[in-house]
Amino acid sequence: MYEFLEQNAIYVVMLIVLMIWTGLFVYLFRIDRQLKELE
Amino acid sequence: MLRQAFAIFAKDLASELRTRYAINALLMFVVVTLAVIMFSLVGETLSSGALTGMLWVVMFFAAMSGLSRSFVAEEERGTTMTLQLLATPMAVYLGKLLFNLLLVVALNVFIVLLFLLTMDQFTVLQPDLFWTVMLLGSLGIAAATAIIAAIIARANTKGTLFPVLSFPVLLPLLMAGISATKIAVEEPVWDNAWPELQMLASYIVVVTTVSFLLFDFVWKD
Amino acid sequence: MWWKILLFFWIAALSVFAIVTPIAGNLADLAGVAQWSAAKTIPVRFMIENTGAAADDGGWLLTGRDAHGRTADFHFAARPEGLDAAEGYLAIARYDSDQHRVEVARILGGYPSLAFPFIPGLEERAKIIFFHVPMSWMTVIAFLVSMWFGIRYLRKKDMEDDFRSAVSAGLGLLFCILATSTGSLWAKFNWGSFWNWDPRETSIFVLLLVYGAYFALRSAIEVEEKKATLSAVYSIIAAATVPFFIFIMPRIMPGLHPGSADDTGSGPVFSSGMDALMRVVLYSMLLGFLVLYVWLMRIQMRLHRIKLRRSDTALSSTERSISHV
Repeated sequence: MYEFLEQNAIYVVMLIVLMIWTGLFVYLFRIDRQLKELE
Repeated sequence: MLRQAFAIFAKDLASELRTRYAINALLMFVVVTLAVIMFSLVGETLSSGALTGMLWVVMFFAAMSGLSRSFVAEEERGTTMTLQLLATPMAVYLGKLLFNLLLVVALNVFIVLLFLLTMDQFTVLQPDLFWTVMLLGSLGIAAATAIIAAIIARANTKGTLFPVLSFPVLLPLLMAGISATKIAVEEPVWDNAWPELQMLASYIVVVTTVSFLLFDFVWKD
Repeated sequence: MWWKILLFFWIAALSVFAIVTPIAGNLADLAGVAQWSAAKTIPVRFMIENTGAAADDGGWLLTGRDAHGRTADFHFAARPEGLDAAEGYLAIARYDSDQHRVEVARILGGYPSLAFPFIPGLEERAKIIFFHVPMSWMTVIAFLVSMWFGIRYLRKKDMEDDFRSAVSAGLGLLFCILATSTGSLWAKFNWGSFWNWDPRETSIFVLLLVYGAYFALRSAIEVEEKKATLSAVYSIIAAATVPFFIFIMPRIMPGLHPGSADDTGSGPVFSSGMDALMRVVLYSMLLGFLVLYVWLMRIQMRLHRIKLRRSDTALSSTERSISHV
């Protein structure tokens, strides 16, 4: 796995983009939960 | 205002000398911590640089365990209101700062002397620089912890919150202090520590100014 | 509504552009890489000067010229099909310092009109800059905004400002976690371990602690006004010490990030000497995340107002029922 990512560095970039999207989605889910409580 | 501040300082000092609540606990804390370090290091040869880290760890945690007393004690005794009525916020802050300053300087001198006595591997190449850094470090610790002690005195979980809030604020001081102490311990040239000394000095100035500006908001209800 | 759709396309298009755009070096990069690693192949851009001749080992030799006018012999394993003398190409190549010629492993395609520069050591990973750097800038911006609303609260005592300050701190925490985790993954591949206590890593770690402490303080105080005042004061004190980390420490202490005290090269990553295209993409990405931040802030504010209205009506209805009794 590490060697693969070492050689195909573009997948490291993709992983990092994925991390950012995951973070934003977790934040959105939290807003959603707050909204649900209000409803 | 200065008279008021000095009166508050004298009051804190008198009540501390009467009860010896903080002093006794702190001295025991330092002795216990040093004892733990000593018998965990039996037979090990450590460089003076590594021991510098230990010294600052002891200094940091000793400060964390004792320095919130000045404001928390007022809150516990219920005397906050009286002070708010009788003295200007500036005077209260100045008095408490002076008391904290005395406590930290005394505490750190005690820690360093004990450290020098017990750790024979710890040798200082530039004692003058070493003591300057210790003094500046103590000033910085006192300045930063005074306002944070005032903040946490109003919160529910006082004891645990104090190190949590203090650490990020104190970290620039710790880093510059540790780096400068290492230079004092290992290198014979005073000038190498110049950036760190400047940083320590500017840290003290910045934190004290900001605290003076903000203490009003923390103190008034 | 339209700007939200625009925002989505803005960030999505920039991400795709950042990932798809090739990294292209020139002949000087190739020779530079050959100095520290003999077996390294990198993408180079070149034009063909003439169609070439058969080499003595059965391969094919061409003369190529890069954008800076440097020429070199390009060695192909076999006679390449359909290479035009006039056209430019992007190829994976390796510099053979014994033969003084470039060994071409693979032709990637035609001359790309847009390409990011080749940065030794970063290579394809240089694209992480477009995602990681906006995260850390947003962390600092959210922190400053939080402090600014804190100051406004202290001056005007408006609870709305306190809530803005808290929401901004929450978003700052999100961006801080993202900056730390993406940076840590990048560090694993570039510097060999997830965490190195480089001054900038230390500073982002401290910001994480500051955010943690801020929320710990908020949850420990019950009275709303007291909570607002004290957390505002704390964020100002923390903000006063943060410049030591962000601007002073990384420059007086040796470190791995560009712009550190021992950084003599200040390569293309350092913002003032950064490649123009990279700078445009980076700043556009930053703008995108800034708008996203404003959007999330506004969503939270709307949620907060609904909450307030609800508790108001709940309060007045209980008041009414009490007065009826």
